[in-house]
Amino acid sequence: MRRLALLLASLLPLAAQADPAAAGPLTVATQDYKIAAVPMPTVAYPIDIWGQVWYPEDLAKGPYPFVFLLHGNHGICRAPGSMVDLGTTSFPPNCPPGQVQTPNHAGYDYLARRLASHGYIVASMNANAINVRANGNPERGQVVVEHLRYWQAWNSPAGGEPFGTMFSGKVDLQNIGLMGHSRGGEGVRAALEFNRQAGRPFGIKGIIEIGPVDFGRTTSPTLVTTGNPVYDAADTAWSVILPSCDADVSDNQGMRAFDRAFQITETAGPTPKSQLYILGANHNFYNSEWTPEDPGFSCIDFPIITDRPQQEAIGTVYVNGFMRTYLGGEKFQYLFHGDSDQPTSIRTPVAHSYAETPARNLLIDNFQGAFSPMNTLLGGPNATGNIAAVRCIDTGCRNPPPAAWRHDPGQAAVRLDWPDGGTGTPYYAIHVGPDGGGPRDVSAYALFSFRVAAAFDPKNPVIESQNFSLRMVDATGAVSKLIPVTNYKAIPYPTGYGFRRSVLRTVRIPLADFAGVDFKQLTRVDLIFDKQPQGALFLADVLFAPARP
Amino acid sequence: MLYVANQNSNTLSVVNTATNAVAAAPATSFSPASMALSPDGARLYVSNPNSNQILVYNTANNTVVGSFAIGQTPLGITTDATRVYVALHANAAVAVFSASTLLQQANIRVGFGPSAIAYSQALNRVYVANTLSNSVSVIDPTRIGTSAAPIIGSITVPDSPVALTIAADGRTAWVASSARPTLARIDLGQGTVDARIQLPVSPAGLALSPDQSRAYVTGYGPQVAVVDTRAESVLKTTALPGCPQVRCLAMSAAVSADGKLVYIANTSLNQISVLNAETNELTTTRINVGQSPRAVLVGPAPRTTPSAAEVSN
Repeated sequence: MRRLALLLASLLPLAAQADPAAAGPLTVATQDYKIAAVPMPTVAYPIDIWGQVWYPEDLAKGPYPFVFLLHGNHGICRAPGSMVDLGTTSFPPNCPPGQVQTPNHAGYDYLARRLASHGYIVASMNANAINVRANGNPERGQVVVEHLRYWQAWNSPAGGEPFGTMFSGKVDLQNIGLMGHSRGGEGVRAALEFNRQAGRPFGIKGIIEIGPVDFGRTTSPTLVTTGNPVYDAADTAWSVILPSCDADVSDNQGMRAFDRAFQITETAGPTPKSQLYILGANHNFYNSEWTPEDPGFSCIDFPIITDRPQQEAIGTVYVNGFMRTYLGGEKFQYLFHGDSDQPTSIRTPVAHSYAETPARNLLIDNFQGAFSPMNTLLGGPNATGNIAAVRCIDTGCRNPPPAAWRHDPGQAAVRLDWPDGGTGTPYYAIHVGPDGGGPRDVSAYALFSFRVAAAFDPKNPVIESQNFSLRMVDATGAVSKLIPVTNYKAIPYPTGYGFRRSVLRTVRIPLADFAGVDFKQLTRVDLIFDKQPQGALFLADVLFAPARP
Repeated sequence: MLYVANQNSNTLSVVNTATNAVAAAPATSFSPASMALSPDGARLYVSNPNSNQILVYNTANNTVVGSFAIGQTPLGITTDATRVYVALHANAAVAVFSASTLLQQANIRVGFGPSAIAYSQALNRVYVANTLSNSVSVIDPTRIGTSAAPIIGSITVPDSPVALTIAADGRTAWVASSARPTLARIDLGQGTVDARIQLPVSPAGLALSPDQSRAYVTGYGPQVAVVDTRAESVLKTTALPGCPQVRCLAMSAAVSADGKLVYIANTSLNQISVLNAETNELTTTRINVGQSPRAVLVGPAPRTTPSAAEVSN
C-alpha cells in the first residue's frame, strides 16, 4: 500500500491552477418542463419533451450560452421516496402501479447549478421514454435536436408554453454546448450529426461526454442490438471523460471516438479533442440519481473513489471548465491538453490525451502503413536494436488474450517488447524524413507528440510507471540530451474494472526541450529503453504539432 | 373506410368516409405507428413499436385475428400477395412474414433506421427508406428463401428520408426527407433520383394522388404542402388548425380512392382534417379520433354486411 501511495503522489498535481468549479456570482433559479408523449417523425414511439432548466435569475442580462445535458440508460421506475431503481418496465415510459418515474435528468444538478451561476442557461433532458431498450442512441440524438427546436420556440418573441416569454431572446442558440453521459454520450454525438445534416441551425460549439458508449463501432460480442451509424465529433471542440473503474461501459468505448479524432476531416478549426482518463472514477457517481453504485464497484489494483462529492467535483471541474472554455472563452484549456497540473479539487490522477485538428499536424506515423513499423508513413526507414517492434491493429493488439486493448478497430499501434534476446540497450529509432533517409524541416511546429500505453504484460512494472528516454538527431549528427518520458507523463500498469485496459495517453514534449539539434533538418527521434530492464508498450500517432491555441 | 392509428391512446379509429363518423375504435398494442392492408383488403396489419408487436385485424369486423412478436421497434409495414414486410427501425433490418401462417421467413439487413417501406407490384420489389443511412434499400422478394442475397440495390437519398410512397403505376417512388425538407423522385426502373423539390414544410408524411400528379406532404406547423409533381414545384402550402403547444405536427396523409379528398392526421389536435384536392382548400370537416393520430390509411369502401367466412375468422 505504501508503494501505491507513492505512485499516487507521483501522479498527482504539484501546483494549484485556476479552478472552474468555483461558484459564480449570479443567483440561480430552476424549473421543470414537460410536454408529454410527443410523436416525432424520426422516432417510432412518442417521447416526453421533459427536462429541467437552471438559469440566472436575472435573465435581463441575457442572452446566455446554452448548455444541454443528456443522461444515459438507467432504470426508469422506483418506489416513491426511494433511490433504488427497479430496472425496467415492459412498455416505456409507463411505470407499474405504485411506482414513479426516476428523474434521471435531475442527477446533474450539482454541476448545472454551478454553471448557471456563471451566466449559462443549462437544461437537462429526461430520456426515460428511450431507456430500457436495446440501443436507442440515434433516437436520443433526434430528441436532443427536438428539445433545441422547442428552445428555439421558447426563445422567439412569441415564446410558448410552459414558459411564456420569460426566455424570449435570452438563450444564445448559436453558442451551445452538449454533455452526454453513458448512452447519452453517443446520443449527443448523434445530435451533432443531425444538426449538421439540417444545415447547422444550431451553433454547437462543444461536446463533452462522460463514460460514453460507441455502439457505432462496438465489437462487444454481448451487445444485443444491431448498432447504429458511426458518430464522430467533427467540427466542434470535444472531450471525453473515461472513468478507469467504469463497471458499466467497462471497455471504455469512448476512447474509440477519441481515436477517430486523428482521422476525421474537418472544415472548421481549430477544434481541440481531448480524452481524460480519470483514475479511480466510476460510472454512476457522475449522476446523483444513479444509485446504487456500479455493479461490482471495484477496480484492479487501484483505489476506487467511494466518495460521491469527490467524483462530482471531477464532473464539475471538467464539464463546467469545458463549457466555460469553449463557449465562454475563458482560459481553462489546461484542463484538456494536460500539459500542466490539474486543479487541487481533482484529487486523483488524470491521464490526458489531446489532439488538434489533424490538418494542422505533421503526422509521422500512425502505424497504418503497409511497411510499418520499419518505415513511417512518410517513408523514412526506422531502426531497432534489441527490441521486438510489431505493428498491431484491433484484436491483433490483444496478445495474449484477454489482454486489454479496446481501442477503435481502426486504431493501429506498434507494440514494443524489450529486450529481444540481445544485450545492447534497446531502442526504436523513428526516421522523420522521406524515403531514402533525408532530413525534414519541423521548425514550424512546437511540440513532439505521441500516444503510449503499457501493455498488460508482466515485463512492465506493476506499481511504478514504465519509463524510457527520448532524444532527437539532426542531419549534421548533432544529438539532443536524453529526456525521460516520465518528466511529462506516467505510463502506469493497466488497471480497470473486471479486466485491465491499455488506454493510450498523449505525451507532448516541447521541441525546445530537445535543444541542441537543428529542427530545420531533423532526421530521427530515438526512443531508448534505458530506464527499465524490460517492458512492453504500445506506441501510436507519432506527430509534430503546432503550439496549442 | 379510413383507418387511423392513434399512437397515444393505443387505438385505431375506423372512420366511415361516407359519413365521417368513427365506426369502430379497436384497441391496439402499444403506440401503433404504421398500417398496411393485404392486397384484397381483408386484413389490416398494424405495427406497435413500443411493444415490438404486429397485430392483424379482420377488416370486416375490426377484430384482432392474429399477432406476432417481432424485433426492435417495428415501424413501416407493407404487403405483397403472400408476405408482410416490416421495417425494424432499431435493428436495421426488414422482417418478412408469411401472410398465411404469420411465421417469419427472413430477416434482411438493410441500412440504419429503416422507417418507411412500400411494395411495387409492377416491378415486384420492396423499397425501404433508411432514415439514418440516407438511402433506400431495394429488396427482390423472389430471392427470399434462396441462397441469393435479397438486397439488390441501394439508392442514395440524402437528408434523412422519413416517408416513401410508390405511384400507382409502380414505377416511380417519392421520398420526403426531413433534415433539409425535400421531396425526391426515384425512377425505380433506373434506380436513380431524377428530381428533387425543396419543400416549405419540415416533412413527416407523404401521400400521392392516384394519377400521381400531386403529392401531399404534411409536417410541422402543422401544414400540408401540395406539390405539382409534373412541374416539380409547390402549388400551395396550407396551415392546419394549430395546437396549444409550440411544435404542432401533422404526421401523415392519405388520398381517397377517387383522388378528390386528402385525409390529414392533425396529430397534435387529435383530429383528421380533410383537404379538397380539386381546390386545395381545407374543408370544414374535422373528424375527432384518438390521441395523437400518427398514420392514416384509406381502405376499401364500407361494407354493410360481412360474409360468413369473414365473421368466422
